[in-house]
Amino acid sequence: MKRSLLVAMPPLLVLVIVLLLWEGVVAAWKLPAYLLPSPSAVARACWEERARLGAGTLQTLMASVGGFGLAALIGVVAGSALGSSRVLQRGFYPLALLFQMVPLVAIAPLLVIWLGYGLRSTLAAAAIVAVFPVLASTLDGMRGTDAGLREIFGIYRAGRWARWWKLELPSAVPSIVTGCRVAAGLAVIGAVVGEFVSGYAGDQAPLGIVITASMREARTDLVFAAVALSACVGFLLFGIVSGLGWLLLRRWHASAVQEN
Amino acid sequence: MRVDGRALRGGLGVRVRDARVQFQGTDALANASVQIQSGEFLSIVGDSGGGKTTLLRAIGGLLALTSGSIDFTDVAGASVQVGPRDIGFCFQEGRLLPWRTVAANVALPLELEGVGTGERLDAAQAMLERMRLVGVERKMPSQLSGGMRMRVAMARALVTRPRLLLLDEPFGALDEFTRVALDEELLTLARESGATCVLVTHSIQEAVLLADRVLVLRGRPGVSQAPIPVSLPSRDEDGRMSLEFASQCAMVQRELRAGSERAA
Repeated sequence: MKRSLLVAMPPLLVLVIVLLLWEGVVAAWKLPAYLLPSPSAVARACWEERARLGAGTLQTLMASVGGFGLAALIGVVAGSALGSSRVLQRGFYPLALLFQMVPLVAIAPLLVIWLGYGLRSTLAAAAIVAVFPVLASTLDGMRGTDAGLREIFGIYRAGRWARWWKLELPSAVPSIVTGCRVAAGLAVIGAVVGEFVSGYAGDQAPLGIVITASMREARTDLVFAAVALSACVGFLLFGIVSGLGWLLLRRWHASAVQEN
Repeated sequence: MRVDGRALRGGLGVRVRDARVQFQGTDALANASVQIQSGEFLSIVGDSGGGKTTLLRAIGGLLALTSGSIDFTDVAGASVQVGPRDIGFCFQEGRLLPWRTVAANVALPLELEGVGTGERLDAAQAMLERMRLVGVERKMPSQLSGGMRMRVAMARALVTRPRLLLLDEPFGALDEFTRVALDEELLTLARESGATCVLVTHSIQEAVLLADRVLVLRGRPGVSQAPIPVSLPSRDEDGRMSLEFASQCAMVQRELRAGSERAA
């Protein structure tokens, strides 16, 4: 308890100092609110628009979590498939690499055409950006399976399925967890960018729409509030994924055992 | 002999004839021939790079021979086919799955064969008790000392009640005390189980202490010499201090050195 406090204190202190400076700068230079609202103004906007922001956060959270879940599932399955077959790997992996380079904003309109406006499109956008790190880390992890352990499975004539489920997948878990942590952050980015293009306006509008709408209304305080909340969605998702990863690895992997 | 179906089958005999293994055109093992009797304990010593491990792996079917043959026989000397249950392997690194508990690691060979959960955990438990590993069943390999890990690896190798146990420098990474203790344990287990044992080691003392016969692979790649029979009055602490033990070690040493002098 004491140690976690010691770890949390310095960054919190820095954050408080930055916010105080920011508040001071806005007051001293009398900066107009549409250019740079003070932290207290952002906090006030948060409170006043809590219904709208709360609904928006929920929408973005659903898209991020759903997109991340989908990406994790597809990434592990596709990564495993590529990892167990050289032919598949040669054929698909270079394409997956290239596909990853296609900017999401460019695909988002297509998603609207295929899936319509709303949650389905934003969820898909989140999944698309988040899937690659999971796929690549699964593949990497599987390829890194210890040769000695492979030999043990060979000696006892393990079948393909047993090799995957009992050897390669567990070997890849540390790597997959790392990939998922990257994917968690990307899923939120994907969701918000997706919302810019495919989000619904209205009282259930997601954070991406709150941001673009508030920008047009010169409500910079609300833009800041929505940005801060989408960051919180990212922290939350990252925290959950890290926690789950720790639970999976705590009994055997050095990365988790050392933190004990 | 134990009244147990598997133990009664007896150890496998192994007939290695002119075994040769090449890796990318160079010989890793040249012309090794040896006949290992059912239930015998054979140690293999030789220069590093001489093909000790290669021979062991070829016997275990982990490597294909370039030429020559390896056959297995039963107690009566008749040729037999071997299955995955018949051969147990023990490697220097232990090779335990780090994400599995000790008990689940020991049960792995049975699990991969499709033995039911209850039955295989019972078998693992029995083996752990025999290896005096009670109390660590639920620990992870990383929580154990090197010697304990090796004993778990041995328990895993023995859980299928193999008729042939292949040991590749199993205690090479351990300290002297642990090593001596495990040597004694291995000797007891080998006698109890009736399995044929083949041990690769770089320690002449260990080779002589454990074996009925010592096979010397001389030179690089190693050429197999006639196995040297070992007879010791006892193989306990007194045995290790005896004059016979020292002279047997010296004999193996001479057999080895004859090769390096010729090479030099």
